[in-house]
Amino acid sequence: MSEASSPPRRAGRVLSRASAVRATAPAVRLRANAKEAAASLRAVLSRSALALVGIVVGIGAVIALVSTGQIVKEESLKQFRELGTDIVTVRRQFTRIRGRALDLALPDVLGLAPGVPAIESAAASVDANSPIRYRGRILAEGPVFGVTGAFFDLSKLPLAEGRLISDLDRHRFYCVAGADVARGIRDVGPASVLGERVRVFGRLCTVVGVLRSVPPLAVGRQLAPDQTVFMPIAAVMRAAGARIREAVARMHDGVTPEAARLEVQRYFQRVRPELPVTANTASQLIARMRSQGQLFALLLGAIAAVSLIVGGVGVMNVMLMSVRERCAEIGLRRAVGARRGDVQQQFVVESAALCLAGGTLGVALGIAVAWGICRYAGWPFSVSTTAVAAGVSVATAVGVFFGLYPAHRASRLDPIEALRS
Amino acid sequence: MIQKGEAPYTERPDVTSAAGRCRRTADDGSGNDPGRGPADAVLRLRDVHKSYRLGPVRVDVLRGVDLAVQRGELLSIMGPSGCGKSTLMNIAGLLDRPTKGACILEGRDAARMSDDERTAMRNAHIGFVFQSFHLLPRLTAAQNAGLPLVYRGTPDGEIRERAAEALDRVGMANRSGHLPNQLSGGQQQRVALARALIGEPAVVLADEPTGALDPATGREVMAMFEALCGGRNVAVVVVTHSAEVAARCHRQTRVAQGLLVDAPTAESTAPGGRGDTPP
Repeated sequence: MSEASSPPRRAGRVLSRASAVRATAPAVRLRANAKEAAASLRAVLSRSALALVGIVVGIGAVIALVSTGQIVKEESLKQFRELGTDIVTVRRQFTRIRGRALDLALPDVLGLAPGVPAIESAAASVDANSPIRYRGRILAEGPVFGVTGAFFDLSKLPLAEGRLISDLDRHRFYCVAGADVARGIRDVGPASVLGERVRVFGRLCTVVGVLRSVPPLAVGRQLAPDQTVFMPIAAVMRAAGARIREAVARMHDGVTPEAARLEVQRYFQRVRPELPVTANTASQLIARMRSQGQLFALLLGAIAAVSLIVGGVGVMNVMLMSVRERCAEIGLRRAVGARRGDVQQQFVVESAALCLAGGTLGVALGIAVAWGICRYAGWPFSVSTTAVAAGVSVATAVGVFFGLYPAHRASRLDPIEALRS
Repeated sequence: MIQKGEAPYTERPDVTSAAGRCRRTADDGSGNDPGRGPADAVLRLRDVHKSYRLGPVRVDVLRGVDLAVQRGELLSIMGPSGCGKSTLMNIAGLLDRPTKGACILEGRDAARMSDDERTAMRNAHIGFVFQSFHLLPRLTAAQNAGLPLVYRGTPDGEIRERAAEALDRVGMANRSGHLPNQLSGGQQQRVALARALIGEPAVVLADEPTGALDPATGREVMAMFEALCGGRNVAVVVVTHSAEVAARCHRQTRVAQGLLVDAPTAESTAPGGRGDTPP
């Protein structure tokens, strides 16, 4: 009878010890392998840190851009909502006749409210660059806005003192000062700003009103009311040669945005058949912004994917080098009881931990950059928690994915050859 | 019952040669203790063949090795470089599979085991000592010594406790927090020995354990092996080039022409020599 088929009694006792080893819970082995992985990572920290640059930059860029993009989108949407969803924006399409570009005409814009039943009021605005000076001091760099009377109501700009610009002011050099400009005048001049004269376009312009402080808004273009002055549109057009490229209108209650948009478009076809215009409602603009946001997110996703692939390949390279350098260690571990699965798990955990660390650093970098941008631009700072969670998870997944091949190679090493190396 | 591929020892065809005679001695299972039979062997190799293919050439490294190692036995394997000593040790240590034959550890034939089962058997029953120590450089002496227990899922506290005991046993208790590069060669080999012993193995396989040590340190290491065999009833198989080391073993063998033959040294066969002392 062979020994193999009838083990001695003492062998039975030690065999049960071997069985106990095999039966060790996977969670316990994972914890042990994770500890070994952490110890190995600490040993190659500086080299690992270099491999992480790709991951850090990739995740950081995505977090920064997603967070900033989210903030910008929210801000713009907020402004649109504040302006009201009953706003129709009219833009002229670029058209040339006999070499000359066509623009919206002021009478056509002013004729919108009486000419289109769906429209309650309409306003046009132009802007031109000119510093705003007072007693030789530059109060603001501009631009200066030329507006029609209804502009303030449509843009919800509140008056603090004096009066607003009227359509009757025509070419007169009167202006309504923003809150910061008024403060600048008070700093060097009298307490009452009304009647004071600032210099714009090289001419003196009398302050007839002051606005309350308001945050920047997007009326077709970015506008910071506090740091500018508003003049009659005809005066700015004459002084600076500015052209009307855009107008805004408010529709009557109960009118559907689409009906108002079509009516406005038909009106311009009637009064200026040679100039094609595009009319958009606020809800259309919001929808467009949302779709642009999605496109932006897709582009970011593509950038992130490329960065993560590059980073992942870097990490894979480090792990392959690590496997090569640690052949003897792998051989020894296999000799003293590490199964193929243990070796594989250790290297995957190492790779995942490496990328998780990179992802965490990237998130921190991204948040810092987003905070810096918001601080510079004066936007309220917030972090997209989804982006943070996605960044960390994706980084870890990249680590697992790109660690699989080196881990597989490590686990397939012949322990004898590995010990000999 | 004789299983397929397990020819009974008495039917071996080449026992007439000197090597064959010697091989029979190596496998008689009695060692220096006539009271023990083959069934007591903790490790048994039966008709082990190992061949490699180097391009079109087949190299037969082992050509029917039989060996039985008893508990508490200190056995030496000698032979010139490239004769197959290490291959034999790798097969005995379940790191390699024989081309033909059986490797029976604690009554189980390793040839029939999966890779994971062999790994578990190694972890549970075999301790390795290498010429170049193979300590992990970033782990302390205690962590190196405790490594086999990590793969048993032993709790950290117990690993620390048992590593301290194992280091104490090899006289390294006061160096448990040191890294390998802070230890001498002899100290590193002691740590390696502690690692081999921590799992309370049935067999310790030592491949040139004194090869990288000066003679005095080598003697210290051999003294530890002797104590291990006598005190803990562990079988120790030592591959060595040193006749002095071999002479300190209970039984001496030699790999020659792919076979394992008995090769008593002058010292061990002399009256009162170590070879006369039962393990």
